[in-house]
Amino acid sequence: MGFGIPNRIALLLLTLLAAAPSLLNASGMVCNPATFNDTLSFSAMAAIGTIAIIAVCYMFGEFFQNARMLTWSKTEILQVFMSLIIVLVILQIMSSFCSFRIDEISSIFISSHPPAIYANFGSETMYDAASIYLENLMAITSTNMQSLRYSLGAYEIRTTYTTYNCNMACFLSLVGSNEAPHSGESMQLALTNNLLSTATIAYLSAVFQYFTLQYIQSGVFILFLPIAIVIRSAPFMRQFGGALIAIFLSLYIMYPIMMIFNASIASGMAGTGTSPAIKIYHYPGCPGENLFKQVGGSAGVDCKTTDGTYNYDEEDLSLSFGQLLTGSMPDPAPFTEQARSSALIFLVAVFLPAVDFLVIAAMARGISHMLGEEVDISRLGQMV
Amino acid sequence: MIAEKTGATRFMLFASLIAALFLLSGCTAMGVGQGAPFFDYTYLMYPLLAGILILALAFMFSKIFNLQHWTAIISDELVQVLATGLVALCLFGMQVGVDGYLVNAFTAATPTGTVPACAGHIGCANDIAYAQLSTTGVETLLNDLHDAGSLIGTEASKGIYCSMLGVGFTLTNCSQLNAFRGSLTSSSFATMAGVLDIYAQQFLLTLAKNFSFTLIIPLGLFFRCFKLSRQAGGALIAIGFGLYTAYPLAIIAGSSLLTGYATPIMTEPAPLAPNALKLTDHCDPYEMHSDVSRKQFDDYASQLTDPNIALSTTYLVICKVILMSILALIITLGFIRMLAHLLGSEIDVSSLARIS
Repeated sequence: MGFGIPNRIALLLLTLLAAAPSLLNASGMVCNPATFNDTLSFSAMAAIGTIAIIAVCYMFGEFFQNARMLTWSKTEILQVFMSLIIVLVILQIMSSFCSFRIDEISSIFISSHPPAIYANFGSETMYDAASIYLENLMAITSTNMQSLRYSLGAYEIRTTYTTYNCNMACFLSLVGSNEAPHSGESMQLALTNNLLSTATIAYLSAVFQYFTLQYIQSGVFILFLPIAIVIRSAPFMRQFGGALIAIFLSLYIMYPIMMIFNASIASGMAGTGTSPAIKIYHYPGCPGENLFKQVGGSAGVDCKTTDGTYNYDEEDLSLSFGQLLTGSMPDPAPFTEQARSSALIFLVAVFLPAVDFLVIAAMARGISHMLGEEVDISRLGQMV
Repeated sequence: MIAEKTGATRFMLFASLIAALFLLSGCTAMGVGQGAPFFDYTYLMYPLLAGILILALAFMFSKIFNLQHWTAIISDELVQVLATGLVALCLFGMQVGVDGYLVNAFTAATPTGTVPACAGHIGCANDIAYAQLSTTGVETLLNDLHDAGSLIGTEASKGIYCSMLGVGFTLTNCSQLNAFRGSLTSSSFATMAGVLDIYAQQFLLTLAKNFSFTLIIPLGLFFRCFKLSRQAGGALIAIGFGLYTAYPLAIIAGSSLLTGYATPIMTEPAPLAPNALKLTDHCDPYEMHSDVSRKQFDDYASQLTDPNIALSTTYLVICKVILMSILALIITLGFIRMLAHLLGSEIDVSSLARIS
């Protein structure tokens, strides 16, 4: 009446065969075909190699009637299959990530107002969607830095501008009073410098995240999988193999998910009202501003390009002789507006990744714990 | 027979508990604030259904391959899925309690004692905390400091010059006023930190209001349904719920603690009068009598060191803004850590320190 062992094995093989086509599909993404096929081949070779070693051990065990070797072989052969199944599941999920479209994900998990950065990229997959978010994040942090640099330049020019008032008998000699009408703005200069430091940290954080994703996408860590299969079967190394799988899962599955999660949150962080919550001053436009906008929802950012006379552009800071004579100075962007936009950008570029890190670390800890090893991700984070 | 009865009784108990939670949460009576997020039950259903579906598949496999030990694991997991549903209902009930009752209690302790218009609506705690942060006046103080710094800089730059045939001198007669610019700049740095603090808190409140119950917690519930991602789910739920409830409450309560009681613990210093830091008269670079410049210098020095000015600015920037924001964040992070622990996740303290 029971379900015989041959039937069970046949069912397992059928399951593996059913998973195979989608794995081939996976070779379209992270995963360019060459890299991914190599990984599959390496995994298979690692499994076959490990099975061969176990078979040799089993043979010796039988030959010498060594119970320890026999027990080890029986245990490890099961673990190799376990590793293979884990690898198949991981690749299956990655394959799904290569197939899901961001507009489909948005319609299921994200609100009715999806992030504006995906408005024209609805057909992109999960990995590309994460990449689009980080490109926009880099753009907006860079725009913010340029806006602050413009203000710094404007303050520098204004604070050094001095007028000489000839209010005595100037035709005989040069006698009069002098005054630097904007020299008091050196206070704003110092404060804007401080804001620039904050903006630089945000920019570096965005660039760091972008390149981390690029490394992940280019498959730097993909060899962890075949290595994990071999290592999990080596004596005393199962925990380390489990840790490798946990790190791989966190990077290839959780990291893109958290980036898309960040994109959704950033789109509404500036508020969901109709009036823009922050203003960014930059000419000729504000690349990356869509990061804080939603399709049919939040207005997010108001991009200011000019004050009417001067464009908010570093290249426009050089003054003509006429402008110097009339004392027509470039206007810096309003300080409190720049502080507001810098605070928001800092939160998105630095605070959200910290939350991501908490979640990813918790995930890695959970997986590695299940596979037999506790990965101390917090220490890894401190090293980073 | 006994076992069947026990199972049925347990099921009835569970169903009654859920029904009681629904009723106690008052969800049917709770209105939704204008533009406030709404907790959609589909956010709860999707993750639970997905979890149950996967467990059903696993159960089927365990039967086909005769994996007896899987059955026990699947039973445990099913309990975890149901527990996740229970957690979601509890969170929803707590959200209603915070927005409906606790906020009223805190705001009733304010000097005016008026109940806010949003009372009883979802997102009310968040709105009140946001409004309180908007009215601290620290932005006005920063602008005052900028105005004072600009004016004193202009005055301090004034001088006279005289040259004949390329030979002569320049005398910056008002430069003694530069002595005040350093301390004004230091004050500006502290005030700017306060302004950035306020903005950051407001953006965090916006994040919590718009996404806690529509994205962060549902995603956490989804993750919590599976053993592999249970810890990550717990962390997300704790972060979302902590930011939505504990954070605005800590801000409101902190404000009430400072000055909110009918008999205040301390009297809040009067805010700085407009132009209180500005020079009262202009410096004349042609003035030859040092007594005049000295008098102006002394007058401005006494104005700046006036205890009322020092007290009011220090209280506002250091105590009301920076200290209270740190306190609110510490309370929130502590709450998040404990809630995560309760939900089966461990949030690393050093990572929390990185956030703060």
